[in-house]
Amino acid sequence: MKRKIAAILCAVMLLGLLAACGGSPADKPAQEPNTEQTPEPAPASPEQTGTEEKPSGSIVWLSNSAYGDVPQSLADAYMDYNPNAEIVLESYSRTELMKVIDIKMGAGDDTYDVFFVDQPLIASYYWKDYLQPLNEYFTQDDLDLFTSADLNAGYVEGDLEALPLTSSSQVLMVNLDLLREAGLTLDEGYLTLEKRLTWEELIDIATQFQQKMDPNHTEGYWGFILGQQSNAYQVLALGNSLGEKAIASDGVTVEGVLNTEGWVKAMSFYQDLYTDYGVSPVGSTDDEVKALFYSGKVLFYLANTIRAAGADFDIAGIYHPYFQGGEVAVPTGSWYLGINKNTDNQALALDFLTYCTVGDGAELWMINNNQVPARKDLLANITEDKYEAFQAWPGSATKIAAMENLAGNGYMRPTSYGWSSFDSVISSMFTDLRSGADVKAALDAAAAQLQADFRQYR
Amino acid sequence: MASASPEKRSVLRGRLSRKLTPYAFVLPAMIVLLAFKVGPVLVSMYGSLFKTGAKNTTFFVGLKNYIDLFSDEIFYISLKNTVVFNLITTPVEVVFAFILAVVFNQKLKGIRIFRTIFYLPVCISMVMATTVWALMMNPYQGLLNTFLGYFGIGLQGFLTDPGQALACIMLIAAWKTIPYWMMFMLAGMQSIPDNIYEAAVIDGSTGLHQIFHITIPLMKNTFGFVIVSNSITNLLLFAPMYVQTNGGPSNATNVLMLEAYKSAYSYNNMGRSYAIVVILIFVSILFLWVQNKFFRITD
Repeated sequence: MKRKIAAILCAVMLLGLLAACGGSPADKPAQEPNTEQTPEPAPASPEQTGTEEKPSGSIVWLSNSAYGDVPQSLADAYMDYNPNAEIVLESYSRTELMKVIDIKMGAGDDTYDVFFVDQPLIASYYWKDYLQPLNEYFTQDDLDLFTSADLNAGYVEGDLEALPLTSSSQVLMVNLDLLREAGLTLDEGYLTLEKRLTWEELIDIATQFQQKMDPNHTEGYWGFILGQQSNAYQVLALGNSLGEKAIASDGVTVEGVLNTEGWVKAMSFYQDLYTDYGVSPVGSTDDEVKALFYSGKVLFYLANTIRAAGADFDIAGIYHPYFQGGEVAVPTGSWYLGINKNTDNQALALDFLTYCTVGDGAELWMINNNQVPARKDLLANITEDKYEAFQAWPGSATKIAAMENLAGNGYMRPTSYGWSSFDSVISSMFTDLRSGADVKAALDAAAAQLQADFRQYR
Repeated sequence: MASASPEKRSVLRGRLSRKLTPYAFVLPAMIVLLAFKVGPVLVSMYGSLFKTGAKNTTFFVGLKNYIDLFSDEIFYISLKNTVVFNLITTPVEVVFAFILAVVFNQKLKGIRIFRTIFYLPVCISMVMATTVWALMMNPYQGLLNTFLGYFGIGLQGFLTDPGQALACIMLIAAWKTIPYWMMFMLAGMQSIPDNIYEAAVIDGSTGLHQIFHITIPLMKNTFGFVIVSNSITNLLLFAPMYVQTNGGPSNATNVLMLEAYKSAYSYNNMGRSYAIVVILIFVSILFLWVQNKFFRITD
């Protein structure tokens, strides 16, 4: 009998342990050319002019820790602007942030009032009903501040779910000292931004560099590295440059879209970086590759402008490459701010969001992060050299990014109700490709898995 | 109807009180057990019968989540990885834990220092251990490939190679947990009275003969506990895959626990996640049942 009771108790405990663990439109050219735009200040809302009493109380802002102290600076700036308010910051790394949002918002929790929303996840959060629609709180003048692509990405089924805090872009960084050391040259036209490298030209230089400096990978030198090699944000641009979409316009079709000849070519190129060309290291994290570049071991580093930093070698920032005969496709789109549908202080949450997006906060964010803005007035300010910070490296990276976005070269990630599945599956596929998996088979498998998963959204 | 006399009522109260008192003592534990152990199991079973639609609406789908799983290749790969991982790692860990316990049971000078050193991996979190091992296993900058290079062995992919990744995770898990189970083995070994060994020596039994005919048979209960507990730990192992490989490359390290987690938080498919957890419960029960056949704990 004792044995039976012990066995039942053990089984129940085991079961408990196990159970506790159980727990739109597709990609398109993002930025419309806006060369006619002139810098104009954000329209002052009644709150900003102080003609109305500002909302008071305390709210919690869920943020991305990758931005260091900048979110706190923005919160402090808002608290100076509205002394009756307290903004409490809680930050997580990008991946953890997604999990926290899903766990807390999914449970209908009201801990967080305002939170970071990654652009392609807006549709997913709409599907899961996490966000408070913002349509009625912003005037057309407010909304006209944003580039049409950045603004449109905030809408799902006519609901304005979130507003862009910032946009983003990529810049190709070159270690000019290493280039000279390897006895190689780069046409001046690329350095002065008159010309743009093709992927083919870049690989030719990177391969020559690798052969001269470290053909056996024993010295730690690398010809080229992607700053976010497992992230759809950066890698999808390869397919985009060949005219490919990752998800069809209906937002739920992948089969026959992700596994096309164009994608096979793009992903073969990606794989060859690590295998045939051997110019990129397998098995390194984003932080590690950044450290490798700034330690002077890498010739080309393609990364987000927020990763542009001062270096103790001669460094230059140039345009994002593209495939010969293809189109220029540069990753863009970034973080939005949304309001928790269950917030108990909507007035303050809304005022804070307004300050950060259409108010003075957007400029503060841009300058402190070296990140291209989503607002037309700020973009125009950059191209007209109104910010001293962006005159020289690393700030000039943002100027390059602004020019990319204004030229309409930006490609946003596709928005889909199933973006988080897509992000997870495609990220695993990138890992597999770096490890030498068959490209066509990997694309077919990813497409099949996603298509099965997307059935739930039909 | 005539009422019972006061004496009879008192006797009845006494009997009732004697019957209820033990239950009153057990009640707090039972409440906790029901709320935090049985409750989640029932929620999982219930949740596995539903799907979540737009705007968080849920609808009953019966056994569809299970039917979908059994036609899903990724699920079978995860199931296979989970079973293979457990079938290899558990015996290896138990055998090495026992061997280490035999070594550390020797009455040698300074043996406690060695025991402490060997026990250190237990004090490190699995996440930290995995991260450090992954650094050592980095194909280009890692210590292991540098070391292998001295013997003329070329660069190995380790965690980036589909053929090696699961074995690497097994290695990390074994490194981390063998010392833990070793302490249980050591405690079991030291509970065997010395006079049994003394009698065996008189009968001419020494060395390996003693280990196989005295130590192991008398440690049957310890083995039973270690094997069952270790199996559960291995079936639920999640951190190394989550932190380092996310189930890759090519699903080589994708186990059921990770697939359940990804279903819930990456694929927005809570019903699938619950269904995987329920299946994992049955897999665990199957493992326990088989082990119980061989290592029945005796009084």
